[in-house]
Amino acid sequence: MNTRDIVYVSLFAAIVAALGLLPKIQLMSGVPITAQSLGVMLAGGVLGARRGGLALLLFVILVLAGLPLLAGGRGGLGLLASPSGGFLLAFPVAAFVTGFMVERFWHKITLPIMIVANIVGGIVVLYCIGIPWLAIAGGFTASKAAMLSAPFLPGDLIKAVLAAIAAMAVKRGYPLIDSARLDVARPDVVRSDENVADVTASNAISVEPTRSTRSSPAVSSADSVK
Amino acid sequence: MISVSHVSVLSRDDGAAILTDVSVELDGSSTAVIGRNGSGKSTFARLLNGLQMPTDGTVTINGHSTATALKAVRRQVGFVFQNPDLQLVFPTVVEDMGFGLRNQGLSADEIDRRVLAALENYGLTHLQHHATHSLSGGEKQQVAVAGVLVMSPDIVVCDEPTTLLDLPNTRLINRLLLSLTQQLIVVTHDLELAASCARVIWFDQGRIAFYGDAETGVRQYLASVG
Amino acid sequence: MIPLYRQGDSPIHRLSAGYKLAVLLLAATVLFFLPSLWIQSVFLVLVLGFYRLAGFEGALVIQQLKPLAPILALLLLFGVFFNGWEAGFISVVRLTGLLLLASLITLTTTLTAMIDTITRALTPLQVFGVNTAQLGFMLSLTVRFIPLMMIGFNQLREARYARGGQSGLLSQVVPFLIRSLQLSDALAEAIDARGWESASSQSRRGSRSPP
Repeated sequence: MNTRDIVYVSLFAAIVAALGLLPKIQLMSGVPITAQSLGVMLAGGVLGARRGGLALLLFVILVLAGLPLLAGGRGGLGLLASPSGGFLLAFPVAAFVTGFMVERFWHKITLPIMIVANIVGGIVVLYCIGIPWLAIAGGFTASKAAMLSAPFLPGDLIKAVLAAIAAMAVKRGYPLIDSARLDVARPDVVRSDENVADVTASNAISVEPTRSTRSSPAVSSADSVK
Repeated sequence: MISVSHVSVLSRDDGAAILTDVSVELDGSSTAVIGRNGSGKSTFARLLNGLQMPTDGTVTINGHSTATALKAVRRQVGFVFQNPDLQLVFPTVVEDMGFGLRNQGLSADEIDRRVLAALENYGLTHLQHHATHSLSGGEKQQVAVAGVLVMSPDIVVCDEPTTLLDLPNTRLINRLLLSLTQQLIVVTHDLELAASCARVIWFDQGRIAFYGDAETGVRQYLASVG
Repeated sequence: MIPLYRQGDSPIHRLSAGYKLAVLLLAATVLFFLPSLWIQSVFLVLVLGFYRLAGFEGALVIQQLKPLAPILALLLLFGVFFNGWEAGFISVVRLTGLLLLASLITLTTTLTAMIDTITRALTPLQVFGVNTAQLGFMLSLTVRFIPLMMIGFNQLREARYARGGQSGLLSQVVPFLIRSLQLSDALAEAIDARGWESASSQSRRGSRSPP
């Protein structure tokens, strides 16, 4: 990772923390949603798999280390013992999986694909880790733990859509995965004019060629899959 | 000795010329860089620390070219940015002051010793355990300057170090800069500061319009603005 | 942003963060395999004794439990309903004890010590190419950036309100993200200007494992 990647990752971890400050929004169902968990999906959608996962790993470490950054001002190791601790620990994995899917489809990504990536990473993966944890820490059977988590599903689905819209907007304004992959990994890909304009306008490309070849965990993770 | 030889810089965005065939040699005395917004003076300053590479020509610092010996150049040239908020990268003042020294690979004891000496030297000891974000604007810039000076560079380059500060803090930083024993290159709109330097470089549309005695330079610049 | 650490000079404060974390892990594992209300209650009392030893008052214990009270009540309710009285109480008493122990560690350990310990504990992740030295640097950067992001976000929101803008979630989040990411150019430059890039590329060469 070059300096710029380090800054992106740290900055995004800080962004996720700042999103926790946003007031909760009450949905019609009465289930409150926080902007923070939007950050999980956004990290994957904006930074890609490795950088996005790493950003959430930083966030989780700082929360566990005792900074009250989790929405509602919670923090500290107590979260590990709490029944909902699995959801916190699943954040980095969820961001990674979302980012992985977004990277795969980057050049032809549409809003529906982005939403699906958010659902797979930010809901399926998150629940697959969080629910068993809830069952073990709370002493329930898996199906009862799933039942307890069900009320959060509508809110999470809405978040998947919101995060997808936001990630698409950031992609237009500041495409981070694009600049790395277009320049280095995929010289064969023909850029659309729109993309070129976006990249230059955003300054994201203003790294020396030597630096961008070394950059992009997005590239290396994508390459390792080929 | 700073030697800039036939340097041109083209914009990465649209290929427009930012600097055109600039050649200048700067010896040990303090030099102010003045000119309108967009005249190329910031780009000139950034060339000296290798933050900006020339499109054409060479920049050498005490015989080290920024293109081939970046590490040696950065050891000798400290750089102070306009916005101290973006320059202080650690949570507390001591940690931030030690950052550059850690990058030079010094031992922890040596780092502590130098940081404490520098804090003492610049009258910042009372701030050492403060959180960087809680400092006032003036204090932040003092810490930023001290964080550069603690690395004992031969040359200090400042890019509009007082633009975001109020008058008392501007005076404070100006006094600090003018008292340095190191060679000082300062980009500024503060003509009071410029006139206090030994020399002035005046940039106009990417070319050097004047290089010489500070008072003459400032007078001519004022006359040209009308 | 107030870290949850409470200054003090008790034996518990002085104990190294690594030991404290190890005790927590051990307690969580052992208690899980001892489904006895008696043992779980003794553990809870022991933890309360540790609070005393650390010089904390009862009010602090209540303060730690307050935000969790609804969850604990819910757990008790569901536990008793699904698994019977004893099992319900066992899980709630165990959880209360563990939560209090974990909070105690947070209350008696500085952020720096905790970051160091956690970074060291993550060393095995190097197998997956995680550079733990870099991780430590990024953790510090994040702590530095959080207030910067919070200030930036509030400024943006105020600017929006000043122009009569809407307060929708997306209309706040998107500009905030883009503006924050735009700072990264300046931040990365400031870090490089102080010699980080050359230092890190050197350590990267040094630490690269053979193919």
